[in-house]
Amino acid sequence: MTALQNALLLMLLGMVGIFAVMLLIMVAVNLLNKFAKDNDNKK
Amino acid sequence: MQYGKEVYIVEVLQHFSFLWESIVAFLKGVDVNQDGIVNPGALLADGTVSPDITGWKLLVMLAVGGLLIYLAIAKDFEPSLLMPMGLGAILVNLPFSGAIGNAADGSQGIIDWLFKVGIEASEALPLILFIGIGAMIDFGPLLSNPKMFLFGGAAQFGIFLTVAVATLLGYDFKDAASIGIIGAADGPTAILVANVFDTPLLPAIMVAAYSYMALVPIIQPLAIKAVTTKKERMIRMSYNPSSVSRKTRILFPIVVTVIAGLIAPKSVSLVGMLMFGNLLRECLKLDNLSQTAQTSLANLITIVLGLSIAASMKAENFVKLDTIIVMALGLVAFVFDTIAGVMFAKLLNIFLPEGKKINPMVGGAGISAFPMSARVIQKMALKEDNQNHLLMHAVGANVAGQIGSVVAGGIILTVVPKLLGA
Repeated sequence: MTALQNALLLMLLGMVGIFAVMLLIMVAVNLLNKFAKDNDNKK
Repeated sequence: MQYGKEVYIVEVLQHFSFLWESIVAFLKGVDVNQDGIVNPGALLADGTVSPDITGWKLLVMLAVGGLLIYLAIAKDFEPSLLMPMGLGAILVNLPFSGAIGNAADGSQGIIDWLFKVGIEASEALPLILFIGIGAMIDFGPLLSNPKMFLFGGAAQFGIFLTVAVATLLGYDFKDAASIGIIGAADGPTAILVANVFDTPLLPAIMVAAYSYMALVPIIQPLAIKAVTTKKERMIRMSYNPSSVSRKTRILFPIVVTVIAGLIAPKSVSLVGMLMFGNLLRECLKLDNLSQTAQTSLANLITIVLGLSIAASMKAENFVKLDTIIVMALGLVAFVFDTIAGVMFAKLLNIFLPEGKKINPMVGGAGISAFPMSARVIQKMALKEDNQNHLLMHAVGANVAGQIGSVVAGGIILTVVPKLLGA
C-alpha cells in the first residue's frame, strides 16, 4: 500500500477506534450512574 | 621554572582560546558529530564552512531560545514548559557546551543524559507527568453528562487528517503520524508517539505541540467563527447535572483503562498513568499522594521535561525547512480538530429536538488543551450572549478530549506498525 492509502486507512481505523472507545465508556458511565449508587449514609 | 612575563601572558591567553574558537564557530562554521559535540577542530583546512552546520544556525537557535523565554514570561504562553525549553535551547546551542554530548572522560552532558534516560530510553517523563495530570482532573462534569464523551472523539479528526496531508507532502508514514499527533493538543502524548516512532522531527513536533496549546485562545475562536453562525453560537444549553456517586468516580478510571486497553493495547501506558492519577484523587484514601502528584510530582517532571526536550533542539536538528512545515501542519491539525468537533455538534443537532440542541462551540472544546479550550468557549459564548454560560458543558467536552487524545495516541501506536507490516 502507498503511504497515502495507509494514512487514509489509519484515519478510518483511528476514528472508528476512538468512537468505539468513547461509546463504550459512555455506555459504561451511564450504567455506573444508574447502578453504582453510594450508600445513603455515605457520600 | 621561572616564567617570563610574556610567557605567562601567552599562557593565560591560551586558556581563553576557547573564546576565539567560539567566535570562529559562530562566524565561520563548526562540525557536529553524532553525539552532538561541537568540534571546531573539524573545520575544513581551507577555512571553508563545514557542510554540517554553520554558525548562523546556532545564532538562530539562540534567538529561538530567547523567543521562547520571551513568550513564556512576557506573554504567559505555557511558561512552565516554554521557559525551560527556551533556556535549554540556549544551553545546547552554545559552542562547546558542557550540557550536551559525551566528554572525553566518559561523562555525559546533563541535558543529553536527561533526554536519553527520561525520554528516549523509557518515555518515563511524559508518562509520569500523566499521573499528575490525572490527579488534577475532575471528571465530574463529564460523568454527569456522558454524551460529551463523543466530542472527545470527534475532535481528534485533525490528527488523522494531518497524517494524510503530511504523507501527501512526502513524509514517511511514521514521521507523518508523529506530525499528526500534534493535533492531540497534548504535549506528553506528542512526545511519546514521536519518540516511539524515532522521528528526526521530534524537536519541531514538541515545540509545535506546546506552542499551539498556548495559542488555543487565538486559534480556536477563528476556527469556530469560520464554521458557525452567530445564531448557532447563541444556542443556550441548560445544565442540570446529576450527582455522581463516589463508586462511579472510583470505578470510572478502572473501566476506562480496561476498555481503552482492550481496543488499543498500546494506549495502556498513557491511559493507565492518567487514570492512576485520577484514582489517587478519587479514592479519597490517598490525599497526600494525590496532592503530591498534582503539585510536587507534576512540577518536578515539568521542570525536567522542558530541559530534556531541549536536547533535541540542537541547531542541526531544528534549523531546517522541515521545522516550518511541521509547525504549519501542527496548525492544520489544531484547526481541523476544532472544526471537526464543531461540525459533529452540528450533525447531532440535526437529530435533536428544539430546546435540546447543542451549542456547536462546545464540540470545539473536545480537544485536549485543558482547561484553556473550555475557557475559550465560555468566553466566546458570553461575548455572543452575556447570559449564556457554557463552561460546565465545555469542561465536560474538554476532559473527554483529554481521554480522546491519549486513546488517539494509543491507536496510532497500535495501528501504524501493523499497517507497515512491522
